[in-house]
Amino acid sequence: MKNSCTANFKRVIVGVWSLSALLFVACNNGKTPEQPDTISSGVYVLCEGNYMFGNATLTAYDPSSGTQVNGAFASANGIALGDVVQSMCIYNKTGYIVVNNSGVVFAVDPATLEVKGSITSLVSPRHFMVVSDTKAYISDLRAAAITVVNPRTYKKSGSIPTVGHPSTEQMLRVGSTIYAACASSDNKILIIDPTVDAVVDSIEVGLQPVSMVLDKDGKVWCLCDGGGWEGNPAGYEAPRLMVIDPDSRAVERTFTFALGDYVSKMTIDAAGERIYYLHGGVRRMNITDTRPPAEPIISIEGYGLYGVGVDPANSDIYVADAVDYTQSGKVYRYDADLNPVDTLTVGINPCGFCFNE
Amino acid sequence: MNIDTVAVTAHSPMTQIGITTTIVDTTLLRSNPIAPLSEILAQNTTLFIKSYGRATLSTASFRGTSPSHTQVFWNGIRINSPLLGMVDFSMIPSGFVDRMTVLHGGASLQQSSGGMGGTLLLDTQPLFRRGAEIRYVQSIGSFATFDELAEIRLSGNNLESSTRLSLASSRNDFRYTNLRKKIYINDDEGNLVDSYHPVERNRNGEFRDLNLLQEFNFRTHGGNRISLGAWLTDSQRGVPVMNIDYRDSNTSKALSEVRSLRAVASWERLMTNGKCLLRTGWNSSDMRYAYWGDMGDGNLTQMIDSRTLFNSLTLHAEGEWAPTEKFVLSATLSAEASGVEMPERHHRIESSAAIWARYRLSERLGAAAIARQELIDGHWSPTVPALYLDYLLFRPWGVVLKASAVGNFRSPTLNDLYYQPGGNPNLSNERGLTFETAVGLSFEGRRWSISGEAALYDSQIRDWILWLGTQRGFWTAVNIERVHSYGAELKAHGQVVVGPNTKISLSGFHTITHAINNSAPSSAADRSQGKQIVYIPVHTSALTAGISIGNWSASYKWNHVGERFTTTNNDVATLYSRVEPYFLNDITASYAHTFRWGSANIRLGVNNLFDRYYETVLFRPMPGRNYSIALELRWKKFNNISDKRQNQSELSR
Repeated sequence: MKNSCTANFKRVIVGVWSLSALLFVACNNGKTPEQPDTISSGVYVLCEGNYMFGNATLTAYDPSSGTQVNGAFASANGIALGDVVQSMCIYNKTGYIVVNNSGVVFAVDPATLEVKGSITSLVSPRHFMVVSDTKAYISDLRAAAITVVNPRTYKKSGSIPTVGHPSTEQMLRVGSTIYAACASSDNKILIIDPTVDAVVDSIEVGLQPVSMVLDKDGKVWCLCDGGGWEGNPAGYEAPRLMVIDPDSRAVERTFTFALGDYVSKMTIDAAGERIYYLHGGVRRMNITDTRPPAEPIISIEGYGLYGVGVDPANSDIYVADAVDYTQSGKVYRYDADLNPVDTLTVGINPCGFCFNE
Repeated sequence: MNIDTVAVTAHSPMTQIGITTTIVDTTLLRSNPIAPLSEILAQNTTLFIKSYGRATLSTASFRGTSPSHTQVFWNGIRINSPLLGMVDFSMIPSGFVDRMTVLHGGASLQQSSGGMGGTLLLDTQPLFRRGAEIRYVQSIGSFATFDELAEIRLSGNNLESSTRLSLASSRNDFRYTNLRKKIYINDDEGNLVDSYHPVERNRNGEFRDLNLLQEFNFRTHGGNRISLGAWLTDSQRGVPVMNIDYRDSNTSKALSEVRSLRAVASWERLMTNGKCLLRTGWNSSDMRYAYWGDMGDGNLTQMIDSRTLFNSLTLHAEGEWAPTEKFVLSATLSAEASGVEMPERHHRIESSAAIWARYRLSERLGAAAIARQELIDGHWSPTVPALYLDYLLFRPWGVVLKASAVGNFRSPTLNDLYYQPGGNPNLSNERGLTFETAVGLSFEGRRWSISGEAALYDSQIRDWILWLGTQRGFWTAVNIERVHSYGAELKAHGQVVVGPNTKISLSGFHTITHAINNSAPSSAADRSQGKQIVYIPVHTSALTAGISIGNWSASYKWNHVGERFTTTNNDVATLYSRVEPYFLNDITASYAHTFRWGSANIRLGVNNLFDRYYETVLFRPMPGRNYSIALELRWKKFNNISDKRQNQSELSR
């Protein structure tokens, strides 16, 4: 279950940075990136950028008007977003943007994208999970620990060691516990008790659990990519989609793909009934299906598909295309009936979406 | 520096028929022996040097090609990494090079295949001045930067020993106002109370580079020359963080270590009508990358420790026969065996044979032709031909017209083939065809000289190897269909003697480089076709003005690099899709004094004179105005009058 998105924003803010501001900065012997108009809107497209290039950006898109602003974070704040934007979530009128290789989480006003605070000096942050009004977890690719912070004051308050598991990735609230997937060269889901901030149990799944979602029946769906490439020292096996019963903490069902297939970026609709993932296109599967779909619902041959999202408001499907991973990416928007609605040109390597309801 | 003006008139050497070369003046190399070679190249040649700052990876792009398309030879052995195909010029102190020759474009085939952009020849040269020479250079610069060079030459009648030691170290922690990020201050309730651009120091940029070169040269009156040389490099460098990094030094640290050994042994016999040469060389490198991070306990714990090794053994034989003044025939035979550990082991054996004929048809017209054939791991490459012509258009001004048509190819590096994940063992060789024309002139009066050259080139390179991202989160090597590289190189040099001890010089170059991806789009969304390859500037320029009055000299250097795209579709509307163009200005002033025992030279330098903010690579901070002072001492004792006179001339430089 995602963090609930409670902020309502209909107000569109248009700002234009004056040329004189740029000149002032130039006279101060420095330059800032170009600062286009800003709008805040219903969909944020996370454009990862390239590792060690520093060119991550955020695109703001208003589905009702079709207006978009690329580089919206830079436009709102006058600074670069950073290196490799990994994820974003919105909770209680605050957006939390995790920038992995800059070691920072920005807390922003989702209506304006202006920074309200930041959590810095993180090793390699990946995902942000709000546990309560005063507690949040930040998973990490390298730290062998989950950082505990206060999402209101942006102060660190502790950490949860993940002994034997150097990395944690996506997190999921399952009942009173938090599930944390160990996706890098690992095959475990850690179960955390947030009342004591400690790992209390683990579930063994397939190699590299990269995505998790919770369906309407309270089952946890876990997508394991199987290692991703032949020769991976961690192993190489067929990707698997696994369904876990949280009560027994056991795997109930397993769907195994062919060895060599690449399956990624799983998400679920707001009703918790249909999951979506990338597998040679976008595939959709009902939680009651007995086998994965044989064909994609959206097939874009030769494209560099890198992300998929489903708008909880209307089930519109957003598909991210990184093209060749070193140029402006594309986002294709379809309605729930799979009719094309819009195509956006966005930043480099669009990888995910955050919907502000 | 004062050099007696000497009028030189000669036909261009047979080796120069139809080719474009740049010979970097020896005096230039010796005037700043502690500077890394990357700086000398950037200011004085048409190579574009992409660098992340001092003591960071500095690679060359020649005529719009990639770093692995520039072949680099040190005393006749190739020093390109068989793993990555490139050379890091920041690791080569210019004091270890006595002569540098740049073979532009098709001229590279004279030396080897693979130099789609060109080839760089770095050579040391024995002097055979009987006696002893000691040179010591000490430089101190901004950001706690220390450079030292010590050189000892001991020469007998026919034997010379040369020892050179170079040490460079720096904290490299220059200060700058970071406009790319902000620090946000919140009260205990989380309300934002302040934000500001921090004044920061370049973090993790410290380095320590040690280089040691030992050579022995032996010659006989029968025309035999034997050379032995070994060059050891030991480098420890931090990996500078980007200016959008919000971690502090307590949270992360990265280190790069390189230990390399290059050795060469050669025997050459000069005869009346030719020469023969046998050479063997060794090139090895041990590279380590380590990363430490805070595991949440406040201590730095090592998280990454990656090691890569390569070794390369070269055997080379060469013969040259010149039955007349107008005709020279050469043949070469080479073999290179390379092995890498990355960590799995891979090997490759490359053999090459070439035959080269040069003929001066008339006093004005010269022609040369080359055919080169390679055998790589048992697979024959296509025969690569080249044809060169030059014609003396106007003798009084030394105006020469050159033209060439050159084929070339380059095999994938071992990294391209075998790196996991992403290496592609099915890669094809790159193939190229280059047409080039150039016109040069050179004329002089009693007190002045002017020379210049303008070259136009057009290259088509097929199956260019490029690393592209994949859905699976890693990059992979692929052949892209075609890259069209074309452009122009303009260079000029002028010098005038205005008084008995006063000389003024001006030199500069401008390059126009179009490196266009002409491959078919990978999908309907792909907009890279017809666009400039990333990080290749269309325009680069440099200008150096110098004046010397007696023992005083000064120079002013101006350098310009045009915009570079960072995306394959060159879309300027995309944020961070380009790196801004920049201009840099440097000045130096020096004073030399000759003593009975030798000489001393003191040199002051100011780099980035106008304290410009600039980036050579996105989000990599570069230093503002910075200073250096260097003292050079030379002591010489000769056993022979002629050697002493030659030395006097050199001491006064």
